[in-house]
Amino acid sequence: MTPALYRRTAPYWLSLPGFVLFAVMLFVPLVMTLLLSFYSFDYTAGIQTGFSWHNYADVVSDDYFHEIFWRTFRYGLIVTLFCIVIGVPEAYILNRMRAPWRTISLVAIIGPLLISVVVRTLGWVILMGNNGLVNTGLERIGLAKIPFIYTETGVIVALIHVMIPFMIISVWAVLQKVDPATENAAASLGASQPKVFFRVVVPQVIPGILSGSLIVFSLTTSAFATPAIIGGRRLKVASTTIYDEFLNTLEWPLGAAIAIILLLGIMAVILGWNRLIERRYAQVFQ
Amino acid sequence: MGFLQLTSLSKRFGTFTAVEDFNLDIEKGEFVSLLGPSGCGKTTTLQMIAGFLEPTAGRITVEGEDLVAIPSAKRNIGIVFQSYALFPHLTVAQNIAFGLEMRGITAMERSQRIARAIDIVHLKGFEARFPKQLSGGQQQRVALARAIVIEPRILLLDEPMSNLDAKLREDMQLELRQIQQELGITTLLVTHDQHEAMALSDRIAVMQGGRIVQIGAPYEIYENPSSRFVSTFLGKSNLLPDPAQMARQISLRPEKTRLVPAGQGKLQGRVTACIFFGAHWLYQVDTDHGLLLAYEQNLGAARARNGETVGIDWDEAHLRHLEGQE
Ligand SMILES: Nc1ncnc2c1ncn2[C@@H]1O[C@H](COP(=O)(O)OP(=O)(O)O)[C@@H](O)[C@H]1O
Ligand SMILES: [Mg+2]
Repeated sequence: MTPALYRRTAPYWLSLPGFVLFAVMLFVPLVMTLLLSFYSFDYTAGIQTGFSWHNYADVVSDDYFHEIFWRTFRYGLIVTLFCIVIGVPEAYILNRMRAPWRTISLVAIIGPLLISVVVRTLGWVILMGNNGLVNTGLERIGLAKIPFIYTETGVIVALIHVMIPFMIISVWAVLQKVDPATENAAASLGASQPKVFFRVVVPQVIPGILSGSLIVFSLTTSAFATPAIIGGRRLKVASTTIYDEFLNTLEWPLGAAIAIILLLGIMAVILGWNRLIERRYAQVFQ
Repeated sequence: MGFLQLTSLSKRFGTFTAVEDFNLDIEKGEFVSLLGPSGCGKTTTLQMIAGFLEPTAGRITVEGEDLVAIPSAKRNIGIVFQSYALFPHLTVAQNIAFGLEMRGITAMERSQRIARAIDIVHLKGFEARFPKQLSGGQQQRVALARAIVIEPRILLLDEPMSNLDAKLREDMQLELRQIQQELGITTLLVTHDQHEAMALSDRIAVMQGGRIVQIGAPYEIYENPSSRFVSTFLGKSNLLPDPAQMARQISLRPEKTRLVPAGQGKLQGRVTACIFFGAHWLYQVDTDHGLLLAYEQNLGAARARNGETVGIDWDEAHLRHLEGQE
């Protein structure tokens, strides 16, 4: 091989192992799911190969699925919003902390990511369940129980708990590149502490908020364990519905169609979001 | 009584003392520089005046009013930071407008004052640009405009030229001095660059290890350095032993010396280096008192060559007796 040819082709064969891995692990199952979503299902004959849009038509025309998708989307929005409201100040405080405390707090925030989501969600059940610590305690002292399990509020609170490290890390990464002198500059120009935060700090970390929102939104809308454990059968979201179609009713083609719609929906939101970021912030933050 | 007074100011970080027993009086409209090597406490002093750091002890007053109790947002002090600290998410005009908005100034007056500030720093046509789209010199002008547009009582400059290249730095120094005199604004500049301090200031306060070691007009300090540190930090200096007192030294500025033929003059030596600077020649001469420097105005070709033996002469009146060893 000549050096020139070597240099030209090197990127391709160097990325080949990664490409093969992605093809086998991601692309093939995706294509199979897509094909599956066009098949039919019959209770007596099982899955019938073929091509038909009727699974999609079923989902699009059924109020039952509308409610599920709307709930999934709503969870995504609310959880993202709360992660911004709580996560941005938390990242800011974290960044202002002194040497040992900053590391300790960062470990406390990132640490839970090392524990399975199932375990963290079960922690909420132990704490807030009908016979959990809090409600037993409330009952002892004669107060009413707080409903948490099988409520939307419960699912959302648990999801925020699971997702917030992603927002904090995204915002924190951007905060480290912010010149702390800009805050002093704003103060010297007459800005009160809240004005410094909202007019100087927050606008500078918007790229971090946007990328954090992307991560939180897509992870929330595709979350399975938390909505399954805390929401249960009554408060189904897209991913728990897919699970049920595949493993309980065995309607694989319908489950595949829901999966494809969920995938396309999340992709549409991500791409739209990205376009917004690029258009609004391209010239400010390159 | 001074306009800005710093009295027995000190700042400790844990056990480390960054600024100690600092006393300085600045008159209204005066331009004073704090000159000293990196780490001598210049920025710390500036930050205490701005209100970003609380003094461990001492007083800061402006027109007799105590500043220490006032938060930085209420001090009405303009600052140009070493990093400029422009708001990257705001345009040039929005950066300059920020301080005016915080003061609740009407949109109409705001735009007039922004236009005037932009005029003063020669940034017409750049109003809609973001800081990232400007050169270092332009960013510095924005920082200056942002600081002066609020008509502050005091202007603080923290090494404002250190990120500019040499030519631009000289231009900006001239401009800064003009703007400062036009506006009559009381200014305190922090720098480690002796040329900058001399070119700009009415008075220079030379700092060493958190204290002021000498203060005075640039010419005064240059001509009469009080210590070895000042004589070598501000300009170059030949240090000769003091014949009267063993422990003391005498400073002799290189430009106050003359090269004379061998055998004449007060000292004899061998030229070990001869460097051309354009306006003058620099000779390094190895003598009994060590290596001495001599400047000769460029009135023709070099007066002596490497390895040549020469005499060095000077007027006794140019010798300066230094206090102590430091
Ligand atoms: N927040 C701080 N904590 C501890 N030491 C500090 C702090 N800020 C400055 N110092 C120390 O104080 C000394 C003076 O710093 P500074 O005022 O920034 O010097 P200069 O501006 O003259 O270069 C330095 O030795 C520096 O390390
Ligand atoms: Mg400094």
